[in-house]
Amino acid sequence: MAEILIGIVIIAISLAAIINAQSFPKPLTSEVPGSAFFPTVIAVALIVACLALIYKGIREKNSYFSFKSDKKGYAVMAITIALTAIYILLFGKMHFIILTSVYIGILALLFGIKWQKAIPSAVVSATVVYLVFNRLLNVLLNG
Amino acid sequence: MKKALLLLLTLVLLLSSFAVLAEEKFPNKPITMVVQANPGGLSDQVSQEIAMLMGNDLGVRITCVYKPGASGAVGMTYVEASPKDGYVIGHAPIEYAMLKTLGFANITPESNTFLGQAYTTVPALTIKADDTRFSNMEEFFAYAKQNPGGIKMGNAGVGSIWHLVALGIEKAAGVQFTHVPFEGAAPAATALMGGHIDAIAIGPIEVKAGVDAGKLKVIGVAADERSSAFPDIETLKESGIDFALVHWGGFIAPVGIDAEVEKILTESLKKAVESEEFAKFMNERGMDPVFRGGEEAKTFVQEQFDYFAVAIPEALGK
Amino acid sequence: MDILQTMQAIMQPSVLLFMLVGVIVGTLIGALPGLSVVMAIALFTPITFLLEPTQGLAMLIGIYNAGVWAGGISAVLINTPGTPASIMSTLDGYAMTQRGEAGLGLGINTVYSVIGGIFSSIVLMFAAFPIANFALNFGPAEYAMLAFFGLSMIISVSGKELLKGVIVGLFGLLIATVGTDVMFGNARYTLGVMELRNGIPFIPVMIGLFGIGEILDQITQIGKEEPTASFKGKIGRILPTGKQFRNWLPATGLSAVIGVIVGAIPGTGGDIASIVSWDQARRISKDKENYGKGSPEALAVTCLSNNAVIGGAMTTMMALGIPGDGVTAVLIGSLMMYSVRPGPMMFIEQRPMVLNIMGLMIVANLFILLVGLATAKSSAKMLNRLSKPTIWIVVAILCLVGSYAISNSLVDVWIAFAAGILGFIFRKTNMPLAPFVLAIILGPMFEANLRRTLTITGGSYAIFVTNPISLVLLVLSILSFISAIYRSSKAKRKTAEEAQA
Repeated sequence: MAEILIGIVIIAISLAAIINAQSFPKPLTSEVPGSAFFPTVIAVALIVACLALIYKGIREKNSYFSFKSDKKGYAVMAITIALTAIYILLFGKMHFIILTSVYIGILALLFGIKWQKAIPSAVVSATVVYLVFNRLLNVLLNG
Repeated sequence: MKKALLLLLTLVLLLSSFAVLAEEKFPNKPITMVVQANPGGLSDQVSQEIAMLMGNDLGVRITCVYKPGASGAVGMTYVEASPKDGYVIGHAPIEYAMLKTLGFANITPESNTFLGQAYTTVPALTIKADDTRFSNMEEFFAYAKQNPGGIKMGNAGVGSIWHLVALGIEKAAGVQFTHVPFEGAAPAATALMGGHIDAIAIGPIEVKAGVDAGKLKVIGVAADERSSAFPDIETLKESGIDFALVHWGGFIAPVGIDAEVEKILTESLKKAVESEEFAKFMNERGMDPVFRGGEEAKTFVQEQFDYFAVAIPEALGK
Repeated sequence: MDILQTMQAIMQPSVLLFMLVGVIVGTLIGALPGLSVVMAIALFTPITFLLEPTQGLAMLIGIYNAGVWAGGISAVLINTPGTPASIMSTLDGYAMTQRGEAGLGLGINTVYSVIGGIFSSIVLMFAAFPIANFALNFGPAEYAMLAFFGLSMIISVSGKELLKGVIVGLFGLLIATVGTDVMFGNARYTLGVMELRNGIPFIPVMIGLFGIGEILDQITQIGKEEPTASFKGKIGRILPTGKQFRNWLPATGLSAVIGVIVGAIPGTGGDIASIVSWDQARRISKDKENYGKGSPEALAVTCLSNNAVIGGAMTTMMALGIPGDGVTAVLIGSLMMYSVRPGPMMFIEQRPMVLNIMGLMIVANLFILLVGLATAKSSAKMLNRLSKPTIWIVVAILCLVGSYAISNSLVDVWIAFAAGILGFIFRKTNMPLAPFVLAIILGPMFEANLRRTLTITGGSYAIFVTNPISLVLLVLSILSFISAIYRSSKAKRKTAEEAQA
């Protein structure tokens, strides 16, 4: 199932790439490949290879994602991804230490670390990261 | 007793107000200098030097922060969007006047406060020292005329200043080169040293090592006057080719900074640029320190912007 | 007498002190994902303005060597390369850590990085000019063939999953076309995002693919008993045995030579060196089955190779004034601040300085040996004591902030995030990651140089066979393709036979 999905997605991307590449400037001479040559060739090869992958997926029916047996694991992972996306969205709009402590703290609790350990560690580590990256390494962090 | 207390209070208030006023004086914390290219190149070296000189003058640390990308568009738009307290400034080379026309970013002379121009450097037409086909400008252009497309002229990227220089030379001399773009000026110089291309027209800083080693040879400079880096080399104009384009660089700050702050920064920059140390630094690298500030600078940048608005589409045939 | 003079100049307390500072800074920055050695050198260059030349150079050389070495530390411990040069070290290094052999992994990284550094310093001393001049022969045609050679390895690193590896590799090639077309100057697939105009930056992709992808994969197994739990608590040895050292000599010797040469070629660095070394060493190795699965020999090969690059790059920098890689590009500027002009003249006019630099290289590596071996055991112990969730959080923060730190840009963080999710999907569906890495690093190099060569020759492909270096690389690539396909079909047949038996 996964192979079929991946195959379809990549074929879609490749088609989009080929279509978009038509708008690239044409080469001045016929000998030197132009701007659209490589992306188009690669995309065509991808489509062929993905068709083979889809065929393989239909024939072999491999199952890779054990959602049922690892229900908890996948749920935790999904939440982690969502939290991280929110973290990145707020990054730069909020004070770094506050945002990062909250992020680390929630993750720690999510992963099963007790709040007595999670919360102080979160604040300390966020502060350490801030000091090292901002003060020592001149990275531009809010705060 | 009461009087003494009152006097003490007044004294304290007076002193603390001085302290507050002293705190208000710009600058009182480190300044960030945004470099619009990767470490190691021309922009980095100049920015680090100016940062050091200005920092010593203003008494605060000026740190270089790198924001490369899109021929400098990333770095320069970053400065444009920075806080307007004067604590973020940036290096702005000639690409500043080219970005909008090239389509990389919406930067016009009004997008930033131009603190001042700091240097110029002239394009050096360079060939391999042991090239048997030509060894000076006359022979070079004669060969080029007889062999259209025969000269492989490297440049630092399509639309880069050095590409425009090569196109300008082509037009003024009435010849046709085959243009070979590279990812930057240094790879182009390297390719020339290895004999994989025939010529380049880039800044002296990139070719000086090769010239000193006897592997490369500068046959002409595309400027109105001879360069202090190569005083014995003729200008293209002297040879009858009417083309000159000077690469320059300066420093910018966001629009809307306090007039007093702008004045402090500009004067410090002027001092740095006109210092002996900077002159020595520039000369070692084949560049010339030049300071232009205030209205003169703003007019200059506007002129450059207008020039490129016409020259670039014309040169690239768009 | 030169040597005595050099030793006198170097063995000053102040010089050694700044070297130590450089080593510590290099270690810190090299080990943190996202922060590159180039950044570290650029950051500390202003400080060197205030120092004497030997002191300043000691610090910079310390940072350079330590940074490359330390990149291997995080590659081994948390599967995230600290610097791009350590990408290949993750393949075998992290597998070793998962088997409980983190101590040995760190020890190998240290010992072989130092060997690489010292070997390349000696080469620098004796063969600077021949090597530098050889490097000049690399023009667009040669670069194209070198990249082609590297890309041919996509087949061999795909193992049994040939089709998936090819797909991942092609996908990487397609992604690599995003950006500005070097030859024409137009934007390709940049979706209007200015930061993508220079292409998709591959450091965030590495960080996401290897670091974030790995922890996401582990998170789905949360609460489950680890199969490697029995290995925890045991550290074992950190140094390879004498026998192992001898067995590995052919492979490591080859990778040393490859590292120095690739380092000398302008514009190519530790990542390309370790990729080529890994593949070529495997060809001649008796342990080839285990390459990529935790072979200590493979780790030795990659660690040696990426440090050997340093001497090679310095060779080109000093002998020709051309940067051999990103770091030497900055070092040229630093040297000029001391009124030293890199180039052939340097060897004649400023010979003491050249000898000092070589000496400093060797001393720096000795420092690294001490620091590395002293901390290897304790680092491995500390890693063992940390719980998995703690490691996940540490890696997550380092990857996120690290990718931001590259250019102070949020775009890089999003890229790392997306690459992380991609890496997770690839892992779960048995799609090999290495081809993607190869494609992203080598794809642009191949396309740009191929088209550049054709521009120079006016469309003629003859140059690829008439230039000797190019021809050699082309032949090697074809051989690489053929042997990899042969090996893969042999393996497939073997598993089919085993299934039948």
